[in-house]
Amino acid sequence: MEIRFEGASFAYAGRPVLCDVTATIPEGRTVAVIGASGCGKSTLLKLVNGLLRPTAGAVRVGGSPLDTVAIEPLRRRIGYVMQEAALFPHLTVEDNVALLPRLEGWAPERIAARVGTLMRLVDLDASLLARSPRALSGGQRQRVALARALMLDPPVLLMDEPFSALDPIVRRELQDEFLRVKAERLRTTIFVTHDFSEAHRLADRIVLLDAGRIVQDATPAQFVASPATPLARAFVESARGIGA
Amino acid sequence: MNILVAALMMIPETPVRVGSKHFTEGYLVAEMMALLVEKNGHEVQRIHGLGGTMVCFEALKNGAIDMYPEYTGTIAQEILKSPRPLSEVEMRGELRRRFGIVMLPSFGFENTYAIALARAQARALGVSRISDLAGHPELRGGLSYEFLRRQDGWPALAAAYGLTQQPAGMEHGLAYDALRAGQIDFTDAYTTDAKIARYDLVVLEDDRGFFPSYRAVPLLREAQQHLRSAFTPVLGTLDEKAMRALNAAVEIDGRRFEEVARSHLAERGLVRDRAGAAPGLAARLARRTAEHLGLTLVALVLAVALAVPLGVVAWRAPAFGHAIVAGAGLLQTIPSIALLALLIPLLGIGRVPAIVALFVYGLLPIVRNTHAGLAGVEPQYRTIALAMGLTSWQRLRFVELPLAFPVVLAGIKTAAIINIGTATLAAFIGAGGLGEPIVTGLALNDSGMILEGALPAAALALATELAFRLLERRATDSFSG
Repeated sequence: MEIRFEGASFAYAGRPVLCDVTATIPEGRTVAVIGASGCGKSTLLKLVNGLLRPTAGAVRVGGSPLDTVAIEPLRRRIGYVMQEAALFPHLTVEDNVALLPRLEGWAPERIAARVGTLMRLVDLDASLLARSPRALSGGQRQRVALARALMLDPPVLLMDEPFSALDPIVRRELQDEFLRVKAERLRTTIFVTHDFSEAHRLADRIVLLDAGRIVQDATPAQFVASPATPLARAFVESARGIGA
Repeated sequence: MNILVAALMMIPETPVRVGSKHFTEGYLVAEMMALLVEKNGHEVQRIHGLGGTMVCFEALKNGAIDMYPEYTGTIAQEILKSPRPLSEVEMRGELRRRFGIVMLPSFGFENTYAIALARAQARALGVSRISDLAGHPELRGGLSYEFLRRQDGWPALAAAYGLTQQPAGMEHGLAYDALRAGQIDFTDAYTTDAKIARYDLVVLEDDRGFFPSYRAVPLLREAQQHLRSAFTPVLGTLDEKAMRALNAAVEIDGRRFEEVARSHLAERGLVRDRAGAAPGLAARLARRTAEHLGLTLVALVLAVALAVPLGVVAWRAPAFGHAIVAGAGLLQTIPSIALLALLIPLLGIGRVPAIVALFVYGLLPIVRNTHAGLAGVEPQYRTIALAMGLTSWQRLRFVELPLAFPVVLAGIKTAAIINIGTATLAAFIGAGGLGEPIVTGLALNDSGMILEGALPAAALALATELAFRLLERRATDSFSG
């Protein structure tokens, strides 16, 4: 499913957060959105699954504008992973992962099979399924959150700084998981991060947001080769130091 | 809830139900009525200790009880609300016409205001009638505050008899001791007051007929008229002196009122002097605790069933939210006795109004905590639930309510403990429970009896607190384990 921003703007309490964003993310592509804190990265993501509505312009997912009345069916086709894994603390790992397919009325065998597949994909031991999320490490939680987002095999994936809170080694591992997930099936993905090396490693294209506007939209190679603004250059150089 | 009310009302109630007001004489006379009905071969259910004229008469009107003893003065003023004195014939006609209630002839005694003097002094001064007091302006009066201030009390009495004494106001209970110690010479009393015998007082004759007549009469529903013959042997036979002695046997000698009533009738050969063995303490406790828990539980379940959805609405629709919480808060401020009284015209007496009252008191803590619990759900869970495409109902059912559960549970606990305490008042409207001995004990001034209800009620509240604490721990464990 293609995602299109058509002159999308968003203002919060009269203060512009996103200004006239126009961009297309073709089906199956992964776009990283980078930028400083408060540049509107997360807001851009929330316009896609309707957590926020554009105050001007439009956002189309799969060709049609967001239906404001019955948005739930669309949201179930859009996986969402947040920086806080936000696993439901009153449910076990398994119940977290299996919540959506149960609500969709899947047969238990089908759910069990899908859970097994995803646990292997995100490299988690099946023995963790019965645990409470509170008993997991940060990395494990984020893996479970990824598995939960993928449970219904959505064609679209929204990643909102999913690995930012993890230490570098675990973050690297999870980036590997993400590449495996990407290899398993191509999904239209927006990956918000403030880490240029992460964007460079995972995305097909990198979009730089500055004060609510797109200032550069390029492949990772082009981005490194010719950063468009001093901010873009600063991002590229921040990554060069650690060898991205 | 309507179904439940209907179900409770359908419980078959075949025995003859005898009610009584919550003071010694009420218990004694009602018990005698109960014994006489039993003697005539009917099963009797005693609903003792009803909270006042309003409760008793409404209960009689609605058929929640079949009979109870009342006083003619009360009938004229409080029930028929007559601005002028009524003759007993007039009262009888009005009661039957307006309410279908039969008033039988008096038991024989009158319990009205009186002026009492120490016997020795009365004899020495030659005072036997209230009009004699006019000749002794030096006598010092000590009157209960109520009697001193009431329009139809001392001021009117003094005017009617031309009395010039300036009596002091004092606590009624202290007046008798003051009289014995010679600090005062006369006080107000009730004509059947047990203390008149105890302190060896004489009641002055109301020779100008100042005090309204408070003759004790049985009131019956028309449907129970066939039982009137059961009372014939006692009507007109019980005078003030006899009633005073019976009151004294309970209040001063500390005998059980059931036993005093029975032995009085037995002496006159009206019933056999052998009570069925009273149930033991354990059996009494078990029955009352079961009744008490029954009232509390049914009310709590109903309150949860309404208050949790209300709390959800209050949270989802903040415009209603304030109104709902304020409304529940307002209900909470109605004093429990007043609420019970308000419910009697609608629901009669017994379990149903008691449960409704407890239900009302359970609402606020549950509504408030449901609202607070939902409002306290961390935003990240709300966001992810939305983003996952859960519908409004699914978010509530699978995410928000489970996360709010510990707080909701705390609200339910508060409601349960409030209910256990408040349910003791249900005895005032004949709903039984642990309040029964408390109400009786208060009426008879028997602290042992009060404790028999108060201690188990406190233990029950404590046990509930502990049970909920265990539940809460389990609820919290499931979040952290």
